[in-house]
Order: sequence, then structure tokens, then C-alpha cells
Amino acid sequence: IMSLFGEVPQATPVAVFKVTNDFKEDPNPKKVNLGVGAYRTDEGQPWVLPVVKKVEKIIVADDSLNHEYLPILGLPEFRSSASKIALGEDSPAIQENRVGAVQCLGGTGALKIGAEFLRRWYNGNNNTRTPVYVSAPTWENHNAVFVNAGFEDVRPYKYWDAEKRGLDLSGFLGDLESAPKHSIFVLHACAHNPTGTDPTHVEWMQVAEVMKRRKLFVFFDSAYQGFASGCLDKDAWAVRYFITQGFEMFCAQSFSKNFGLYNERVGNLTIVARDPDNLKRVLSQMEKIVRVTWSNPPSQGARLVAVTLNNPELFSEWKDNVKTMADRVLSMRASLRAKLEALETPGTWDHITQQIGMFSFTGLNPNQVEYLIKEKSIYLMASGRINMCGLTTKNIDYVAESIHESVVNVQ
Amino acid sequence: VKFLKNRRSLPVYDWNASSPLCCSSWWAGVQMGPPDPILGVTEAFKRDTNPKKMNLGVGAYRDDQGKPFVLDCVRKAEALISSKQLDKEYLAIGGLGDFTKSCAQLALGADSEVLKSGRNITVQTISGTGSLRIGANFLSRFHSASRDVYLPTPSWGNHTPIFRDAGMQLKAYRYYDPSTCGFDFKGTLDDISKMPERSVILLHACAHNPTGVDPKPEQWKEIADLVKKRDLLVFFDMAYQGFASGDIDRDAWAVRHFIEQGHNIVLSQSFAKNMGLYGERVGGLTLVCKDAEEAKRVESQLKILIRPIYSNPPMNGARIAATILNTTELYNIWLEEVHCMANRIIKMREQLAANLKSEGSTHNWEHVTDQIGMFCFTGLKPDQVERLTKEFSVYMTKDGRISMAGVTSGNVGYLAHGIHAVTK
Repeated sequence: IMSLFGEVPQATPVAVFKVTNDFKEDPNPKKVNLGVGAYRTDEGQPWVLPVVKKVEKIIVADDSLNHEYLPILGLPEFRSSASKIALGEDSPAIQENRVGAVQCLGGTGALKIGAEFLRRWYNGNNNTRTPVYVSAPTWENHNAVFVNAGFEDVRPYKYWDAEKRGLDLSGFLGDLESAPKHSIFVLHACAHNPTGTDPTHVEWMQVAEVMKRRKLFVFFDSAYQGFASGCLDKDAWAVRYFITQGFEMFCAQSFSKNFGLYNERVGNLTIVARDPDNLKRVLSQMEKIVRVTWSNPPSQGARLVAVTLNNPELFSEWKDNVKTMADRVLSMRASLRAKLEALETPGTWDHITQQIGMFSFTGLNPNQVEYLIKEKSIYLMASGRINMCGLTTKNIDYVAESIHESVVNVQ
Repeated sequence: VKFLKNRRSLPVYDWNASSPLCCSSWWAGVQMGPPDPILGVTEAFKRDTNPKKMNLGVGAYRDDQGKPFVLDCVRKAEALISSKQLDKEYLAIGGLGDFTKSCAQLALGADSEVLKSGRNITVQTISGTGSLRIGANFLSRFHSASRDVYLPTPSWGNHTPIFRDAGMQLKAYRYYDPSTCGFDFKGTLDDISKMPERSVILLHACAHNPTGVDPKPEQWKEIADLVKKRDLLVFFDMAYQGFASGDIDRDAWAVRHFIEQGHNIVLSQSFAKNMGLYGERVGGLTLVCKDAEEAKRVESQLKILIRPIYSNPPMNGARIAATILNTTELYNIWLEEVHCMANRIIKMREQLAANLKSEGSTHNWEHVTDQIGMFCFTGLKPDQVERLTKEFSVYMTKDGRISMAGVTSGNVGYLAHGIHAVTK
């Protein structure tokens, strides 16, 4: 009998996971993984935050806790404290009771639920033709999230200027001006992935002005709050500024990186509405979407974050842990740039320290990337994106020298 | 446009100022969603001040004190895991390998030819709901032969919106006979015989939700035969393995029989109830394929479906489940505990039926003990349900379904009294 799945084609593997896979299978003792975006210590090891270990012990020891279902929208104390992290304790929007949230499975889950809601309820019901703009380049899963949510028109907006290795502001503003009204724009709140290039405050103000005037929808993706500068509030400046400008908006938050809780899938979709009544109706419809996707979210990670954020001592300890990670990244940036300049590697390398967050868009071309992978067992993305966390004091010389070689030898 | 420099704090937005944004919300057209029929019951229950109130709505197990029950094997597994100091790195898109392997083994049996030949693909999912959803998405994308999914009447309330949202068309087949509060075997066979070839038929593997009515093995055999004749794609939903009879293998009998008969099934599993891991969201989705090569292709496509929804699944619950399934001592404790939970339910059924008799009810309450699993389809009509809720503070869904898990030796008498009062 013919199989029902006889026609199912083999799909190409997700790139970023393939890189890690290939790295794992490489026998070269000098190999370096600069692919997937997860923090590593200077020993090249994953790091479970000390505050996380502490809170886990508290949870395991607490016999009063059980594994009952969370509400559909998630753990209430998680949702509210997570939104406060993004918007600020004293956010007027929160005080005005027009901020709500949906606990989701990581940042991906938050984007997904937000996208599904927009496809059903934004810009006329069941509107699949509203253009969704994602930055060029952007996290490679943005496209798939919105396409799978049913949007038919996902487009790039100009963002990265490869020549000057910085923000293409005029291109960005130009795309904002020419976008059809009500288009949805996915903005990276800070530490842009993959370029590490963020707009300045003044540049954000200009973006906001156009978006307000042209009635464009603001959908922030905030996966690195705390990780960019080491300071939570600084990293949330753009999100908070947009709120002062009166936008109704979504902000997809991830606690994968800043809490190191990658595999617990801790995310939060923060919703800022015009007023409590609109918020109420929006949340009721979010419930319907969640119910047919995962029913209710996983409790462990959310509990962990909620306990931490709601306890002043633990909260303080967490902020320190975040700063530890951010500081190590900053020192690796400084170190890599210094070494490349010392080697007199052709080109300019100040973008390494100007860029912010976990990633750096090195500017290496696909051939040079291939050289690094094949000849040096240094694994990075085809786009030239490297994860700074993969660098350590022990491997940075090898990496710098290898980059030097690739630039000199490979066109 | 003027930009303020040297501001010390951000300005507060003035809604009254004239601005394109001040007048209306993006969401003005968003309707208030109707309350969830099952979860709405719990909300109402919470508001009730009657000390005798009973929540027989949502299907979560309760002990004989009416308290949530954390299994001992779960606590032990957690302690074990905690001592290992594992990292929190992302799982693969398809989930924790130790989990998916043992999950498939639990359902199919350790000696299953399917497992030996590697022709199944099993991915970790967000409990039963997540499993059904990914399965539905997969069928929607790759099962081009048919858009139709046949659900038994009645079925779990969330089945319909899940499949619909995934782009499938919902159809129904007769299943429950209200006149007997039992299985409408003839109606089921009749309807299956009329299903267009290649349609998808969803079957509850055991402990049918909401009716508690399961086919007998002989009936399953006939269903399997007929389904094969009609060349239907079988989608099993197994949310209660172990919970129905108390025996893991017995409850998986139908699933294994279908596979032995050559059906390449789709299977959703949940560990919410049988391991009490509700909020940790532990589940599996299995597709039995023609061979290992096909399983690889299917796996690659499942990953493409999963990634834009949540990237990869949560670790905690899967790690607990895997530890239990793969540690002999814990596995044995688990089997005992599942057995206990199922037994307590069975006992409550017996006590309810006995109490109804001693209340003087002349109705036939055999179905209370014939039905199996967490739920009992009492046969109560909506107006009787309403009275039971209003006059006795007994909360249940409008279709007359009660969760036996919410019944205790302390309140079964009160429940019988109330049911008798509204049905005499």
C-alpha cells in the first residue's frame, strides 16, 4: 500500500542547530562554537545562574508547591513582574491598568501568540494581507513565525548597511515612510540579532515619529534585556520611550538568555492597550489562541522567574548575574578588536566594540566563513554572525589569528 | 520635529492632546471572547461560599481529601534531578531523547516491532494539546488526500477548535448512546462504513473523555478491521494511559492492536494525568511510518512545524517523566501510584452508585460503574445540572459530565443526595 507520507519531502535542517551539530561532530580539539546564541563562561561552559540554583533549591524544598495547571494566560505573578521588567516599576501605563500579559513558551512563543492575535484581530478581522516588516537581516525565525501565523506578506525593512557596517537609518526611515498604513513592524528592543547594531536614542525617536504618523503597528522583540549594556533599564529605553509616545503595542519578552533558562521556555507577551476595557477583550481572545496551541504554559520556569523578581534580595542578585554575563561579553569584544588590530588584519574592526549584545556581524563573507569552518573548525553562521559568548581568554588568540588568515587568504 | 534634549525623565503621554492615536484603539473591534466552558466552571466554583461545594469540572486528580496529588515517584525524580546539577541548554526541537524514546516505548510496548525497526518518529510536545496541535498541523500540510477529521460524538471540547484552527474540517461519528449511557457500537460501525477513504478518524485510546465509555476489545477489533477496509488515517488520543484500568498495558491495548493490524497511526500522549505533571506540559506525538527512512523525512517536517511556534519544548517535566520511566525503582513506584489513583476512582464510582441506590433512586445507574477513567457522563440534562449547581453547589459541565477525581469518601454521600434530588 502507498504510504500516506510517501510524498513528504526531506526538509532542510534549521541552520543554527546544524552549526552546533556539525561542531559537536568535529574531532578537532581546537574547535570553537560561535554559532548558537547561548551564554558561555570563560571555560566555555554553559552557566546556570547562581540565583537560579538558589531558587531551584527553594522550589524543590517547598512541599506546598504542586504541578497543577497554570491558568491559560500563565502564572499571574510571573506575568505582572515580567511586564514590569520591560516597562519599568513606575510605568504610567501599568498604573493606568492598561498593561496585560500572556506567559508564553520563550520569546518564540510570545511572538507566535502575538502574531496569531494580529492575524485574527488587527486591521480588520482575519487580515492576512497586512504587511509584516522584519529587519534586513533579522533572527531567522521571525519570518517563519509570521508566515505560519497566516500572514501572506512578510517583507524586509532596510536596517543593516553592509558597507559602512552600521545602521542604514535613512533606508529604515524610508521604508517606514513608504510602508502601507497599519503595516506591522517587528523591532528589536536592544542588542539586534544578528547585527548587534541598535539605533541611538535620537534615531529611535525618529523611528517612533514616523510610525506614529503613519499608524504603523509596533511589535517589539526583547530577547536580550540586560544583556546589551548590563543594565535592565538602559536596555529597555526604546520600549519605554514608545509607550510615552502613546503607542498601543506588543512586546515579546524572552528570559532564555538573561536568566539562562533556555530550555524552560520562559517568555512573556506584554500587551499595552489604550485602556483597561480594550485590554480585557484582547486578553480574552488571547486565551482562545493559547487554548488551541498549548492550553496553558509550563510552570517551572515561570515560577522560578516570579520568585526571583518578587524578592528584593534575589532580584538584586539576578541583576548582578546579568551584569556578570554582559561584562564578559564586553571584555571579549574589546579583546577581539584589539587582537585584530594588533595583527593588522585588513579592514576596520571598531564595529566589534560598537556593536552590542551577544552577537557580532563580523562582515566576513560566505567564503571566509566556509574557510573558518572547514579549515579552522571555527563554527559560525553563514551570515558572518558570531556569538561573542563562544570566545574565551583561551581561544581568542586562535580565533583572531584564524579570522586574520581568512580575511587575508580568502576573497 | 523637535526633540527634547537633556530631559531628565520621559514625558507622560497626554491622551487628550490632538494626535492620530488619541481617539481610538486598534482593538475597538475585538469582541469579548466567551468564557471557556470547562475552566468557567472552576471560576464559578471559586466564587461560591457554600462549605459543601464540590468542583467536578476540570479533570485533575484529587486525593481522598480533595487535594492535588504530587506523586511520590515525581518527588523522588525531582530530588534525583536536582542532585545532578544539569545545565539549561536548549533541547533539540524534537525534545529530550531519553523522554521521547521511553514515551514511545510506554505506548507501543518495549517489544514493539515499530520501535525495533525505527519506523516511528516521536517528538516531545506541550502535553496533549500541543501534541494534537502539531499532529493536526502536520496533517493539514501533508495529508492532501483529505481535510476531514471525524470526531466521536461527543468528544473533548478542545478537539474541535484545535483541528479547525489547523485548517481541517470537522465531521462526526456516532459514539455515545444517551439512551443506554453506553457505547453506540452499531452507530459507530455504521458511520465508519460511510467515511470517505483517506479521511482522518480520531479515536480515544482509553477512558473516553467526556463519556468514560470505551469499546470492549472485541469491539475494537471490529473497528480496526472496518477502518482498514475504509482506508482511514487513524489518530489516537491517549491522555489517560494507566488511568482507565490501572494497568498501563491494558490501557494501551487498542493502540497496539491497531498497529499490529498494520495501521500506521498518529498518536498523541499526555503525562498530565497519569504522572500528575499537569502544569509541566509533558506530552508526545508519534507517527508510525512505513520505514525508518520515511520517519526521518517526517521528523524533518515536524521540526519545521514546531520551530515557528515555540522553537523547542520545556525541559523540566520531560526530564521528570524520563527519569521515572528509565529508573526501575521509580518506574515501579509509578505503576503502583497510577494503580492507586485508578482504584480510588473505581471505588468512588462504586460508592456513588451504592449511595444513589440507598437514596432510593429508581434510575439505572449502572453506567456510573461501567464507565471508565476520570469522567462519568451522568446522563443529567442541562436543567438538572443547573439545579445541582444552584441548589447543592455541585459544579460540573453542562453536558452532565463529572470528574470522578473530585469525588471523595467524604462528599460522595452528599453528591448522591444531590443527584437523586434533581432526578427523582
